[in-house]
Amino acid sequence: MIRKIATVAMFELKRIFKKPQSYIIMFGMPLLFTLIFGSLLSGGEQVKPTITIVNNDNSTLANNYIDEIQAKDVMKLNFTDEDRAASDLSDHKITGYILIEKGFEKHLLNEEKLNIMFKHSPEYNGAVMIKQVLHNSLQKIMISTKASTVYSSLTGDSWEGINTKISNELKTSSGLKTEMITKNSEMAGMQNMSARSAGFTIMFVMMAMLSSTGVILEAKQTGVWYRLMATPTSRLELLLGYLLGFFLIGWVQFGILMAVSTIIFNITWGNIVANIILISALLICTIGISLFIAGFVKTSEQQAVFGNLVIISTCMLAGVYWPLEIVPNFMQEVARFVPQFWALEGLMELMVRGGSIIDIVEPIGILLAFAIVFLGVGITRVRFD
Amino acid sequence: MMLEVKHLMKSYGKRQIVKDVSFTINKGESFGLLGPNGAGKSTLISTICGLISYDQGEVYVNNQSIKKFPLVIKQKIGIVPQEIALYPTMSAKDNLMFWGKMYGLKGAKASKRVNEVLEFVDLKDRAKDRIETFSGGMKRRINIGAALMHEPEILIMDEPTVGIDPQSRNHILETVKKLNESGKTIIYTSHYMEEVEYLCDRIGIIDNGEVIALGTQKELCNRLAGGSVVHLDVENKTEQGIDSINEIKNVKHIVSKQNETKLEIYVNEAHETMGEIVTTAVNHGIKVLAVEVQEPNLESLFLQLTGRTLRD
Ligand SMILES: Nc1ncnc2c1ncn2[C@@H]1O[C@H](COP(=O)(O)OP(=O)(O)OP(=O)(O)O)[C@@H](O)[C@H]1O
Ligand SMILES: [Mg+2]
Repeated sequence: MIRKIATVAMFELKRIFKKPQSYIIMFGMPLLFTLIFGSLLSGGEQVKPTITIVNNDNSTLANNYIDEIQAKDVMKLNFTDEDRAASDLSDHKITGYILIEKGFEKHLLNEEKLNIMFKHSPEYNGAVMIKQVLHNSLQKIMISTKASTVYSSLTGDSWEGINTKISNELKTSSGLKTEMITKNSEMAGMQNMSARSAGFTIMFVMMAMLSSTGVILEAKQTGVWYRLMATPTSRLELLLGYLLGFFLIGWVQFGILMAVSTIIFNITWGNIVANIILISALLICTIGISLFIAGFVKTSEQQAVFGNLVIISTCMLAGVYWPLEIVPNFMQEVARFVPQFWALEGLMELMVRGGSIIDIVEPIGILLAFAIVFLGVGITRVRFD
Repeated sequence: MMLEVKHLMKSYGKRQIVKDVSFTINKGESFGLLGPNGAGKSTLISTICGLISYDQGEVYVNNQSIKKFPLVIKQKIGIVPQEIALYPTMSAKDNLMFWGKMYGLKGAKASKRVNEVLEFVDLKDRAKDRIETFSGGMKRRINIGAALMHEPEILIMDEPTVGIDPQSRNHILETVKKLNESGKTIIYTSHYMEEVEYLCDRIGIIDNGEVIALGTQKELCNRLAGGSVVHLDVENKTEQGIDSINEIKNVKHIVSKQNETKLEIYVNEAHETMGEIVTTAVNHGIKVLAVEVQEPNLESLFLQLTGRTLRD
């Protein structure tokens, strides 16, 4: 039983790597696409998000805070009222807005809990970075405010004058500023590179998967299937053999792409175990979809044409080619019905935000659900005679 | 009894492809299935091997039903499909190895068999080449080799010589003959009369899904009404002369068309009767210009049974 399954699986694996064109589609294309799209959309002004500040406090400290944020130079800032900002956000004119509530200065002076709100579209990948900036800036303001209030209570001078002095000093002396900028622009660039790398890896693994499941149709065309059915091999063994083969092929490809992109593009894929589970779920999903398509067509060529069409279009939907923030709202909603969206979501969490399995429970769960449904349906479409 | 087929029926949709086929094949026998394109040979073979289901009837191999023991029986059969069922991008060796393993061969035994089989089909020097670089005849030979890997008791060959040159064809026929002589039971389908005549002890003629004649070559030919055909080119045909020839013992039937100088005389034991026919003709003033004897063969039997030729 095991031996037959292994024989079929290993033979398929061997077969695919004997074809020179396999290397192009499996490794050449994804790396090339990552290089082109990754560098195209990263770096420069382009990635700087446009963020609106709603300043409801309009106090000295609030303005200091805004200056502080502006100094970090990681976003394009503009200013309006809250209603306008909210409507701009829902219209996708801005990436998000920062709400400085009334009483900001008072709370700060009284050392009370502060609430800075950053509202953004859920797909925005850079939110963590912005929050980091907001937090760091606030920290600085708090330190300088504390310092100046202590100073003023000692000297009797007005705290505002002292604060300006201190915060100016902090700004120039800390050296923190330039450090932050380089780190953040690098981060934005890396993030796009990671997203493209993950995205194109997903897309080309799916394509390679599609062409490897095509071997069943091809076998039927060439008559190899006929001979396979004549061997004393049960349908279950044959099916499991093929599935294992596809799965292994997918993993070899993914593994190599991960390694190469790490070396060439300096991409961190993050938590290994979480990656393995996530990608396995994606592979099973893809095998299911491919078998499903194979069930409707006659030849492996038809399957390739039709399947690639499905893969490319769903990859566009899922945000493989470009960040999802640039597409209209309803498209972002539609993306949630595509497995690649969840794979990408999960991978980005692992790569950029350094998440662990716990953080990608949702993408993994949804992908596994997709996988079970597609594989279940796909297997029933395999015709044995 | 090696193989027993009983009242086998198979239809695709409304079309009956195999119609109540029954025959038995003994161990070590070589059995030929002769029939034109579309007769249902491949379909019949696929049902015998358990590759497609059948509607009615039974197939037994060594008294075991293929329905009940498909895997046991598949292990005993080696099938050479009509199409070249090999992986074109893999080498001959890889292909043979794979098929051997699919029949349960392992490790050293499998490698040994690969070499033996390559030797047997005379392609040892091409072992490492991809199948796609082989000629049609070579592919056919590996196609046969793949079925021999597990040393099956029964070898079923579906038109193994289709579409290849005469030389390769002879090579393959010799190979099959050798296999049969070494004790293998063989089922061989073809629409070439000469092939089954050369190879097979017993023959079933199949047309439109029915076995219309079954027996040894001699039995079948004797079934031909009037066995051989004597063709006479004559002058001065006379009614009386023809009647006299018709009265000769062994002469079954005479075809004589008006305004033609030919006589077709259907006769048993043609060579012994030949002299009497010519003497009778001459005695009646019929001038005999040429004589030709057509020996009975499967082609003429098929023609007689169906009114058609095996190949069009
Ligand atoms: N899967 C199928 N579905 C429908 N009809 C089929 C199928 N397979 C075969 N047939 C029909 O069954 C008939 C017999 O086909 P089969 O291939 O058995 O003939 P054959 O004797 O092997 O012919 P050939 O000498 O050309 O190989 C043909 O009319 C064919 O169209
Ligand atoms: Mg056929």
